[in-house]
Amino acid sequence: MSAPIIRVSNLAVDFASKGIVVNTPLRGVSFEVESGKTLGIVGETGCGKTLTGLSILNLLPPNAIRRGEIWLDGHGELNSQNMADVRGVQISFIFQNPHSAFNPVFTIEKQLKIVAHRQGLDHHQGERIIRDRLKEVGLDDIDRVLTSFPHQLSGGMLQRCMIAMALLGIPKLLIADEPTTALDSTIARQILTLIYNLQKQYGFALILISHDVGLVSDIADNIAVLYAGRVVETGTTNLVLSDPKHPYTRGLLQAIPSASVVRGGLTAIPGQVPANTLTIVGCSFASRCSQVQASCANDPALKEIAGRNVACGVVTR
Amino acid sequence: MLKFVGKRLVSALFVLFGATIITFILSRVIPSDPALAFYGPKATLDQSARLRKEMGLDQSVVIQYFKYLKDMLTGNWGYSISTKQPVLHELMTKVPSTLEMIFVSIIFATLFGILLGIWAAKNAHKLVDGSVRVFSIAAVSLPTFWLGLLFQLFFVGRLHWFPATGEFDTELKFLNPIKHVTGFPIFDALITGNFHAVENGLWHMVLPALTLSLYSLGLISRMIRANLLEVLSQDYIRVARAYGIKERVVLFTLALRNALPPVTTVVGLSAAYLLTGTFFVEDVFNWPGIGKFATTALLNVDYPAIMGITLLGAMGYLTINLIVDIVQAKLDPRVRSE
Amino acid sequence: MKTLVEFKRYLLRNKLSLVGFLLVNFILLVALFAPWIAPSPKEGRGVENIDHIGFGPGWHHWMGTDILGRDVLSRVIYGARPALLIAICVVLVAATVGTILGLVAGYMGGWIDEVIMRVCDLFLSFPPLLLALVAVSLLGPGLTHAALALVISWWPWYARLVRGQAQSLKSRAFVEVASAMGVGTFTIVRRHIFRNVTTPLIIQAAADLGTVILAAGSLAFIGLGAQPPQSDWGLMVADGRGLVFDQWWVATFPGLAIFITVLGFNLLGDGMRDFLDPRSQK
Repeated sequence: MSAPIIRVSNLAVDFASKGIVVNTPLRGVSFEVESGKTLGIVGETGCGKTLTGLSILNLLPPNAIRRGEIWLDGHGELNSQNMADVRGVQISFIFQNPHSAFNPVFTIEKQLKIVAHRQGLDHHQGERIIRDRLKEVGLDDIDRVLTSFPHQLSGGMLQRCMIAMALLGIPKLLIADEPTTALDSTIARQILTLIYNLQKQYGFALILISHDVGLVSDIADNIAVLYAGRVVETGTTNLVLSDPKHPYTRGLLQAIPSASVVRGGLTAIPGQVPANTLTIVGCSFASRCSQVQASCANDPALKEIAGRNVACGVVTR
Repeated sequence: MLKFVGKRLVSALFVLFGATIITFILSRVIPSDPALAFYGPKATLDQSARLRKEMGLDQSVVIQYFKYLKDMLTGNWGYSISTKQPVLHELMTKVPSTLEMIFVSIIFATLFGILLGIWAAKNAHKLVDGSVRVFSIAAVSLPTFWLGLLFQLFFVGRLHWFPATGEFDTELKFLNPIKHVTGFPIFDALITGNFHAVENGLWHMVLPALTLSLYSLGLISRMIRANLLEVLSQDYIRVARAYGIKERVVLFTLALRNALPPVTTVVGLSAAYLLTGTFFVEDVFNWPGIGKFATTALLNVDYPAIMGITLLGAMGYLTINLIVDIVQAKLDPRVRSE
Repeated sequence: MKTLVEFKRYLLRNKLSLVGFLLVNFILLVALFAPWIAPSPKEGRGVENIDHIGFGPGWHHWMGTDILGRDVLSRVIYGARPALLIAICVVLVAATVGTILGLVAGYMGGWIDEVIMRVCDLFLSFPPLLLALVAVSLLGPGLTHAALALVISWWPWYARLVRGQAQSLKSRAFVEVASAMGVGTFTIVRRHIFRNVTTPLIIQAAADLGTVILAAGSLAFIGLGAQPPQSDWGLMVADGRGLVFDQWWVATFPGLAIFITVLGFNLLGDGMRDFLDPRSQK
């Protein structure tokens, strides 16, 4: 049992307009990740999972306000002062769409060199490490890749480049936001395997954000299910996915085509994700829950039950 | 890259070819008698018949066109009706002064347009931004000729900072005559070490160049601001920030490079305005360039001169667009792959 | 198609566009009610008043008098008429001609498209104002000739714009469906394509109104546009050229009128563009 590399406490994000908070897409998320381990953050679109990743690095739009604490091993509490040192060096980020994540007017080489320079590597060191990484992510014709512009490479190749860029400085933590969503399934598999192998090789902590539970379940040690900006269930992947306790988690798993082939029939969760969290009273899932009761008018806290944490007043009675 | 340039050049030549067709049509379809124009109202029948024969007007249109084309290519662009000089000669002697002014105007407009646009984008939605936007819209709403007069009124009449008209002080011809090397006045003065003339020339150029450049300045600053704002919201900028790249590098290197290519299009468009803008600016400031020659020719209906100016204008416009295309391809690699 | 109510709301939120809207309306009213607003309507129309030459701005003549003694304010007020008239006529005619040709070229495709587009390219290979200048010079000076010349230079822009739109719309599903159901070509063009073309068309036209006024003023300034004794702003500025150092008001106020009018149209045009199609840029 190693100590956590990163600990997030009550991370929340408000969106404000002219000084007034108009929405709180992230309403207090807490978790920790150990070195070498993977945490999968899953949920539907709009549950706040991408915001979680972005807010760790404070990459939020100007009208967003971040609350809560983030603790990083070796740096203590992260604030605006030490954030500049941490970005890209201690914590790296992999974006969803590789084509839009690269600057279209510069070659791959130039962009990698800019990041290498930022890491404090000199010209020769940088070149060597860039080539090494590109080979490690499985690219063959490295010279061609280096001299290419982003629009000349395929999505899969670009994503590999992005992974290489993220690992130039061997970060303590890698956050991967939907790294395979924009790729077709065979390539997606390869990329996921690649990330997994690199993690084993370099030992960084990994936060894998995805709407695809099946994908995450393959490599995540622990899993956190998000709904309407809150964690509703969290624990080891095996436990949570084999025996989901929270009604939402159960609904989510039943809605997945592959799982339901066994269970029999696709079941969609009735209703919709709340658009604005300020209007929620009590449990955020209550309006769609099949087990809703009177006590659900009170917002449930995360409580431990059956080896994992669940935020449901009915289940954790 | 070279293939791109080659393709553009070929298409430019085709367009030029088409331009000659238009000028030819215009010069022949005019509902009037060229003899009357050349000799005046007292032209006799014999004179007009002789002139017709001379100008080849008794032959078929197609033959006339090829004769016209041959003349153009061999440098025979006709004779100006007002000055009785060869049109090409007139154009060649007057173009340099105008080009110098256009050059200075474009540099000024581009440099300050870009800086202003960056300033506005960096301070988006604040007072600075609003002021720049108002300024830009105002700059493209000003009548060039009126602006020139206002500048004269204010900077010459009231403040006495600059000379009102002309390219150089008249005394310069006697005190510090410029040696003719390339034909470009200030440039020649510069390379022959005649710094009095350089200073004098630049002093005279300030107001006209400023007047000419304001329109482009407005267009460019607006475009840079809009493009930069859009670029700054792109994912790859977020990625750069995620990697802790310094904000100054993000803005001036990573973002600006992406915001520039469409600006070159705007520079080309405003260059077109610059070309015809010189007509009015030179008129107001009495600048001895193509613009003044053109306005005189247009008012006097000096056909050969007008045709020459039109063709020259088309050539200039095409050249500017060609340069713009090439620069844009250099800045934005995606264009090269087309 | 957004409604006028929404536009009103947009105007109230965007001060600059509101200013443009108000300016344009103001100029329109001035032009319409000129004979009633102008202090000296006769002078506004061009009648001389030799006794009054050389008056500067003051109580009797808010903008002074010009070289022939006419009240500048009245002339400036009357000057709104030719300015607006030429702007509206030129844009209307150029847009109509350009739209028709553009629709034909874009929807028909093939050699018709090629021919029309080559002709457009020919016209567009010259710097914009140059063709107009040459055309007026050859036709002879005067307001109507200037208008005609401007139409000649302007129509290709509209043809190109509409043709591009028509081309992209042609392959859209709803057009193909209509065509497959046997709806006649003319009806398809009129009903489906034209309606979708109107938005960029309106945006372009609104912006062009200002530009045409500038162009017409410039033509008048060098003597190729409106002729004396018409009250044209460009002409008035030209009149005041020689006097710019002593009787500065003669040239300044008409030019100011041009500036404010064009500014109004540009602000309004910008506002309309942002309102109708927020994603587009110049």
